[in-house]
Amino acid sequence: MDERSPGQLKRDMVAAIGLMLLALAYGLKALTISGSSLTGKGLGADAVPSALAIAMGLFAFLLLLRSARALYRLAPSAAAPQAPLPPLAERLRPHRRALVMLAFGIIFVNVLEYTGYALAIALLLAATAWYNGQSKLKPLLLFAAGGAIVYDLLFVHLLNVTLPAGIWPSLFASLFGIDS
Amino acid sequence: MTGFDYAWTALTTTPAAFAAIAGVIWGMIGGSLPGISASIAQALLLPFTYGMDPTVAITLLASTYVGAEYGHSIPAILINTPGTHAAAATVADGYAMQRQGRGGEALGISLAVGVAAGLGGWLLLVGVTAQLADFALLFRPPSYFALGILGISVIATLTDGSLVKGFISGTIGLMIATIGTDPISGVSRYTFDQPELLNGIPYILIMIGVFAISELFVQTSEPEWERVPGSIRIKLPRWKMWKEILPSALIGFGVGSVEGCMPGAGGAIASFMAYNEAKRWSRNRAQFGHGAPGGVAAPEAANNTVACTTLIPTLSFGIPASNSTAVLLGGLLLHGMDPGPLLFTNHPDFVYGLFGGLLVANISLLFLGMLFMTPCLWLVSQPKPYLMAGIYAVVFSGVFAISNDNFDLGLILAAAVLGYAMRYFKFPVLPLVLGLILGYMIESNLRRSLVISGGHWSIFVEDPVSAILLSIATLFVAVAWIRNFLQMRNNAKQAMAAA
Repeated sequence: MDERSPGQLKRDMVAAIGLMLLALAYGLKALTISGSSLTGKGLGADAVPSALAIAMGLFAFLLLLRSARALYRLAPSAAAPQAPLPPLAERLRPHRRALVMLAFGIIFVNVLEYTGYALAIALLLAATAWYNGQSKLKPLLLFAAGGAIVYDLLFVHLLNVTLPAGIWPSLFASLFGIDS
Repeated sequence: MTGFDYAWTALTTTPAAFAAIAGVIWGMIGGSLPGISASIAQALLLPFTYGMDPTVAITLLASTYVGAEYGHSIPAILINTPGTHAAAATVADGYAMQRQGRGGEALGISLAVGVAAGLGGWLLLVGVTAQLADFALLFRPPSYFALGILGISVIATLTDGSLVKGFISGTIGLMIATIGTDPISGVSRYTFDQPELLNGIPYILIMIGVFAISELFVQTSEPEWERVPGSIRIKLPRWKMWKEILPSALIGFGVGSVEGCMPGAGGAIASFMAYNEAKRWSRNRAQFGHGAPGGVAAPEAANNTVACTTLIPTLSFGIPASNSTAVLLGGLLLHGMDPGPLLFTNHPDFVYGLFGGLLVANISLLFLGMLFMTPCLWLVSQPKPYLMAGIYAVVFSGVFAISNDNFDLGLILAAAVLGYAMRYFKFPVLPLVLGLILGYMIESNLRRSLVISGGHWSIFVEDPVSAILLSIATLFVAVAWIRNFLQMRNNAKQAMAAA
């Protein structure tokens, strides 16, 4: 989208309002930062955060003002017939897909401790590849299993990184009476 | 010890030479994947450099940049898909040559010219940066504060998009940098009672999130990459071809030398400028855009020159010229190497070791470029879903390997969301990363200066280095503001005329 198109200008206005709220929240939190007698005649720990909050507020206000003015100036030409926008679902599609990718990451982070690294990475590989277009089951499973083995060999055995083993060692220990 | 001795020692007693070769290979492979820029390839490597010697680690990262600059030309020439903005200028004539059955020739030009220009850029890097070491003793806390302000101002004014957005991005970076324990008084700030935040947010996590993972979020909606048709045999230019492309290559080298030294310019501007100038001065101007070898030579020479000369402002002043050098700067700080004039005085072994490693990288690129052509082509031909999944998994594994902490994985996901939002709202990412990296330097030196001066702000004007740097920063902002103002007035006039 063009930097000066009505759509982008509206986005800028939304971003500016969001940033002004961020500046407010950040500034209010800065007020709660306790000072220190160590600083003498210098600045306290709250000085830079307070200045940044003010700067952010000012920049966001400038962005809002600039976008609103540009949008106002574009208004007469905007009245001319424009190409229809694609349906909302189509416009939201990239964000929805990004959100699903994010969800895979969040799930990975949360199951890692329980499933162990090898299984969690296999699941992440399978889910990501499937979601991005690999729908055939057999190559998908082969890829996930092969990938998990390669990553496990690389990180755990070659680079000596301690990665979560999951519930399996304690589960097998309790099942077979082995001391873990 | 002379610079040569330092470099020789580093290359013979540490695995720096091996790191240079490994970096070039990784850069070529990463760069050949559409969507994987040099900065992403470097960010993916960062977690693995933790336990390495600083010279080896930074050589690895810098060589990745060298390899990626050539790697980007592979999809640009063969499948009309520039991996980065910098490779976009190569597409016009490179892909036209490929369609004429001269793809191998175009890749050969890209490789040979890239190596020659890279070596020229390396000579400039060594020659110019060594002279800057003399300024080391002039720097005091006010100068460092001013240097940080100059860095953010220059980057905010020169990156794509509006000036205000550049400053907002830089401010967000500075805000993130305030999270953790205050460097002077020890008071905790914005930690929300989370012990993991007491040491601040490691910039490596932010860089991986905003560069690598947010790119995956964007790529998930992009169509499947085109496959490379058949096998390609690389053909290095012969003497007759060299005579034809030499003027374009020299123009590319000249543009790359100047642009690389300018913070914020980066390879993209250099390659497009080089292409335009080569076209303007060429006797075969009409052939440009239809498979002119000079149209490949000029941008590739510019790109590869920039890969070395861009280190001049990064190493000398701590001001990165591009995303790639921002990641490199993060790597430097990660390994306890404060960039700036003192780097040459305090760590000559590191600096000259890096120079030695870069020389190895540029020379080995010629052989590795031919040797690893087939694996790169194989990789570009792999289905996108596998590559996306593989990269996502390596990011998580690498980050977990650093700290064994789920909290860090959560942080990179948060950074990825921030990076995605910034792309959507068209905010430049580089000022954010720079704000984050320079935040500590700016704040601690600001406060130290005021303690020294007893609270008098005049110290920043009385210190000559600080006064000069702050004047340059003001000049940059003023010029950018006037340029922005004139552009807006122009746009308004055009809109009125259209209405």
